[in-house]
Parts: sequence; C-alpha cells; structure tokens
Amino acid sequence: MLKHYLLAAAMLFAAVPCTMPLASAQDLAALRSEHASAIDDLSTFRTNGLQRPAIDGWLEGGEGQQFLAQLRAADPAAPAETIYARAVEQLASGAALPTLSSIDAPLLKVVPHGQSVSPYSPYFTTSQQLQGGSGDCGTLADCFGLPLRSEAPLYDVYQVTPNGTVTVFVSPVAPTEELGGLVRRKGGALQYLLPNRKLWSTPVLVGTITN
Amino acid sequence: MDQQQLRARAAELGQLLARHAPTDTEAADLRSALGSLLAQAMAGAVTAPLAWGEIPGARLFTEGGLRRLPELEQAYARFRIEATGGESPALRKLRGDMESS
Repeated sequence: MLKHYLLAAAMLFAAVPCTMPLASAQDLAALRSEHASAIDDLSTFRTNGLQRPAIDGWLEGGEGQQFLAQLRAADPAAPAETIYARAVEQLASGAALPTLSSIDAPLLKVVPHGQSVSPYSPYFTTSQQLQGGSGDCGTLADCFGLPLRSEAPLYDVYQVTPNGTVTVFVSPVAPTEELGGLVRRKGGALQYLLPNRKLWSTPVLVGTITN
Repeated sequence: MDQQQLRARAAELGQLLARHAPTDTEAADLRSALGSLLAQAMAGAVTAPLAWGEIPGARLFTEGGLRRLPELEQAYARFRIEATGGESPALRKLRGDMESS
C-alpha cells in the first residue's frame, strides 16, 4: 500500500517543477546560487501564519491547555518562556487554529533524502496529505511551505506510531515566503502537530517520494 | 515597545550566540540569520512589535539540533517574545501554572 501511494504521489508531484512566481527550474537554480548564504541560514524564510493575539487567546482555553500540557510533559525541565515560544511557533505555522483529533494510526514526515528526522520536530502528516489531498498546491515544498533549504528532488518518508490513542492538533500549513518574496509557498496541506514526541515511536524509514 | 527590555534580551542572545557560534554550525547559522535584527534591537530601531514569523531561525530548533543548547533556546524565546509585543496574559498564566505545580 505504501508503495502504491508513493508512486501515486510521485506522479502527482513530478509534473510541477517549482512553486514560485519565477518561471523555471533554471531560475530556481540561479536563486540557489546567488543567495546560498541566506538559504542556508534561513534568514529570509518567513511564515505568514497566525499571530500571537489569536494564539494567546486559544492557549488560555481548554484546548490550548491540553496543547501546553503535552509540551510540558515532553520537556519537564524547560522554563516557561521556552514552552510558550515552542507553542507559539508550532501554532503560528498554521493558517488557522488547530482542531483536536484522537488518533491511533501512524503518521508520516518527509525529510530530504539521506537526512534524519529531528527528535524534536512536531510537524507530521498523513499519507493522504502527501498524496496531494489538500488540493491545488503543486509540489510537496509548496503544499507544506518548506524553505529552500529543506526542499529536495527526493525525500525520505518516515513513519511514527502512537503509543496508544493520542490527541493531535491539526491545522492547515500557512503560506511562507523566502528571499524577500522571490519564493512563495502556498501551504494548505494539513499538518498534524505532535507537541509530545514521547507519545510516539522512534521514526522508521518506510519509503521515498519525489518533490 | 519596552526598548530597555528588548535591548537586554538582544544582548543576552547575542552573547550566547557569540559563545556557541565558533564551535556549532547551527548556532553560527542562527547568528547569521539574526545578526541584522539584533543590531536593530540594540540600536533602538525596532519601534513596533514584529510578527512572530518575521523573526528567523526557529526551524534550527525544531527541524535542526539547536535544542541541545537549552540556554540558547531560552534566550531566543525571550528575545522573540519581547520583539513581538512582550509578555502576554497567556504566558503569565503558563508561568503561574508551572510555578504552582
């Protein structure tokens, strides 16, 4: 089944070369060469997601308290500012406040081929989203708002499995921009935020997928 | 904007970046990404709260490995909070909950 969806996704995503207002892959290559330093240090990468006032209001409510509880359980020694900033960062990556979902099935994450999954990353998704279930975005980088540094022609797909039934926080990926707007990503795919990776297995490599 | 507080947070973060960047490539990336903004903050040139997403570098903590430096992450968090409007009721509530538990 995995092979099936990876093949389907490869066909879907291979047709669209890039996701910016410039015309061709040659333009992208030129940008990568000209702005290598800014791409590497992520200095121009911006997420145009939720802002603090909206996030703060949600954090003070019942669902937000569940989110914070998972973050605190993941790292009991972390100070309040760190927990708060992690919360805002994860929520600000979305275009809308998350909905809660109880899940007992595996989730997936893509990283450039040959790289590993950070043990801290909260950003995961489903096979359906990897297959383009979010609609009209072009590439994986476009659907998931990836920076140029994280974009690759081939990604490794990792799977994590919950230790029982776990509450996750689902939101649409916000648009992003880089290099002063020369590169723009639509976002729109559904991301599954996992504030406490201790509730999940170690990531297991299950396949590859093209951009 | 509390310029004195913002300047103090920028100085704290800048000092930690100067300490770690020579031996840690991701800390060096963060210093490079934040250099201009930290300089503006130190000069009092950040006069209105920034949007959260305008402050670069967070992916180095979530997708990279910078969480291995918790002191740096805390300083980054403090600077980011101050530059985007300062402490909020939600943060005060969280701090209170953590202190009482």
